Amino acid sequence: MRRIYVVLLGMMLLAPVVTEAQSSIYSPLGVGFLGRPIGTRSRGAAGGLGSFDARSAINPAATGGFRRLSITGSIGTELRSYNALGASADGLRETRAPFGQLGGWLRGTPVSFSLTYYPYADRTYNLIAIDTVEIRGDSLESSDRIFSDGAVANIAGALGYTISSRFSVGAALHLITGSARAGARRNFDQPGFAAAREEAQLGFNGLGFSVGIMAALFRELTVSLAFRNDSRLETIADSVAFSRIELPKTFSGGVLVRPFPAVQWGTTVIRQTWSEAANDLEQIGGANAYDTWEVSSGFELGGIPGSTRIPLRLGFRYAQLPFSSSDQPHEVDISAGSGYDFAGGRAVFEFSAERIFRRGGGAEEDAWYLTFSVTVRP
Amino acid sequence: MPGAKAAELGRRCTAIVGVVLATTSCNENVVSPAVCPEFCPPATLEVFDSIIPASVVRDSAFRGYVKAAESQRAQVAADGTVESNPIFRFQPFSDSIQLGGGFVDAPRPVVETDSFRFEFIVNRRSLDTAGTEVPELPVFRLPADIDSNTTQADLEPYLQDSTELAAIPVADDFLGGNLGAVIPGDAFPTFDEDNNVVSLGLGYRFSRPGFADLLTSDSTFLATILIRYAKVDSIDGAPVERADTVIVDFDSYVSPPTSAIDNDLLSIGGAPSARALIRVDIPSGIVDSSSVVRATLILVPTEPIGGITNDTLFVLAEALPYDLGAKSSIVVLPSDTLGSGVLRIPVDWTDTVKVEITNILRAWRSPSTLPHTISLRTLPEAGSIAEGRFGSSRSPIGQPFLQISFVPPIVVQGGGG
Repeated sequence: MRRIYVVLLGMMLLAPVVTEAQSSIYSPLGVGFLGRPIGTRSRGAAGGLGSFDARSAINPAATGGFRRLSITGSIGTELRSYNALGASADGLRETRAPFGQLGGWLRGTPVSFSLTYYPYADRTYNLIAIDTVEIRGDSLESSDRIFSDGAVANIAGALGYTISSRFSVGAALHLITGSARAGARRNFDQPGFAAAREEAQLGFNGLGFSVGIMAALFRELTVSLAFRNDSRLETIADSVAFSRIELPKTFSGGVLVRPFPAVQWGTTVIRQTWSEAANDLEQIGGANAYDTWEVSSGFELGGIPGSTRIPLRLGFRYAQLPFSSSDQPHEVDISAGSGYDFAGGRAVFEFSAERIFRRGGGAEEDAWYLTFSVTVRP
Repeated sequence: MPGAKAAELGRRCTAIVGVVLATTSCNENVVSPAVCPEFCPPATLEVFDSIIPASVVRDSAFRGYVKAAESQRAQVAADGTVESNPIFRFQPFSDSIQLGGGFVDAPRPVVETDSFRFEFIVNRRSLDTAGTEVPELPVFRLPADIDSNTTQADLEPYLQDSTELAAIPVADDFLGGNLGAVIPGDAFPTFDEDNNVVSLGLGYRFSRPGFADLLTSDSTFLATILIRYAKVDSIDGAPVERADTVIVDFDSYVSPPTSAIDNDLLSIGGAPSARALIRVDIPSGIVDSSSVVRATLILVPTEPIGGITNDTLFVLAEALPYDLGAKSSIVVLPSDTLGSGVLRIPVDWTDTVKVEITNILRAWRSPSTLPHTISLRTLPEAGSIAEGRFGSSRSPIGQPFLQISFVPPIVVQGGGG
């Protein structure tokens, strides 16, 4: 048992280094492909329960949901393919650590806490382009490789305060950090021309805070509101500040309906003002940035004492994506998930499967995203 | 927690981890075709090509790095006006020869020399035929006291028909390897006076210009040998035939004296060898920050490349670890020039020549502290009489310059599209 804690704590400590989200053809755009601050349970419901789930990080007031110390580590695998402006790719796959959390409740006080990491934006891609260039009057076939390996990570320290059984508040400080090794290489088909290679180690710095409230208006109806504001994301290339990109304000709200104790239906709406980044992106020749709406809705059946031990989660999500060179893209998720608790509830294994369709900006991308997590409650 | 419960938890965790690993442990594959610029980072590689006219400054040339006697090659050549003659002084023969193998028997005195066999190795030669005629390499008897101070003028009386001991025909299909000639035993009348030392010279006889490059003792230990076939006293008094071999004590080649260095020109080659030092002044934005794709040093000959027709001047460009002028040593980079590695310039060439220096410029990239100085020398140095003279930065015309293809620095980060 102790060994499992050690492993999970190790995962937590290493998380800032290895955390990355799923990639996408949209990963090279803007600040990267955005991650999601939700755990596997909420993913199973497409994020609909995210505003109310202590094992997510949308609303810091939700940390009041912890009843004991809880340590979560997760792993996610994505399988995807895309078609974009005549180019296509199949069989792309990667495995990442999308979410980790340490949360709990200060015994004898109304204060709860959590330390959460999740990818703010994925910066992993490896693009290959074949072209013909003319140098010194010679037509040379060139092979370009543009790559980045890393992510912008979010580490959130949240405190929740349960004012009453019906009302809680919370606040969180977000440390936005991470790194990526990025570069480009060009090889020529003629031996007289050496390969061009540019590489840089990028570091990311930013800070944010969030506040939230959660109120049970009735026993069957809970609402949630949260606000988050982030600073600019500073990109440091080889120890020199390279760019500063304004990060958005995030407004989120949710409704959780629980007609029966074993049935929960939640809907979460998130609004992010990514257009604030447009000017900064324009200065570095980047993509357009759009404000986004995200609506996710899902339910969970069972999973509590007195009902089925294995819960069933289903959900649907629609989200606009913030970065594109032309029209604003969006994605649609259909998700399902479940879990299994054992050892008297001291450990929980959860998984989710998402079918994702991304469209817009000239690309069509389809993906499967499988997430697994283990939560231990000592 | 009771032990049984902990054990159950352990078993179930192991099973779960197994399931997760089986599902997620596929190899990562994120390599995909780029769709640029729509789905690429904004910074892309762009190649610029620039000719930098005044990029060569404070260039100079010096002679005397490698003498003919120190070279790894000795050239035998003739083109009707210029000749080059390899010369060899062998180690002294002994007065006696071991009768049997090893050192079992005492050496027995030589009573009669029957003949000698002179052998050497040709590394490369000019391939030019004139009907059934083939080039010949006449072997001359030289004074036994030749050394590195011996000049072609000193040997002129000996490079004549009267001192010719043999002539070695060079067959059309001979591309390189061992050649040799038998020399009569009485070919060296001063053999005893010379303390059994023999010196030989080679000439080149053909109706057209030609050459052959021989390996020297600085290149290969047994490049040139002289075998003596002699009769020695046997134990019962009847002479028996035996042979012994000596290697060269000194080898070199003599040719017309090279001209003095013209300070307004860049000389490369000849014997003693000349090197050119090229100091380069190019914007730091190119050499320190950019990715150099190709860099070419362009030299303009002020006269046709000198040497024997059909010969080739092999020029090597190298970086210097520090610039001490003529006393600078060189840096051997993994590949000093791209492509062929060494620039080949035919003798009599008059057009501009392009020396690829891409790897040198890439070695200069920051934070390198190498001076921006390039040494140009022939390979092997002083291995032939071929020499090139090129315009310097002080020449009114034909000044050297650089052509550089480079990719300016970029930072690939997000924001693309």
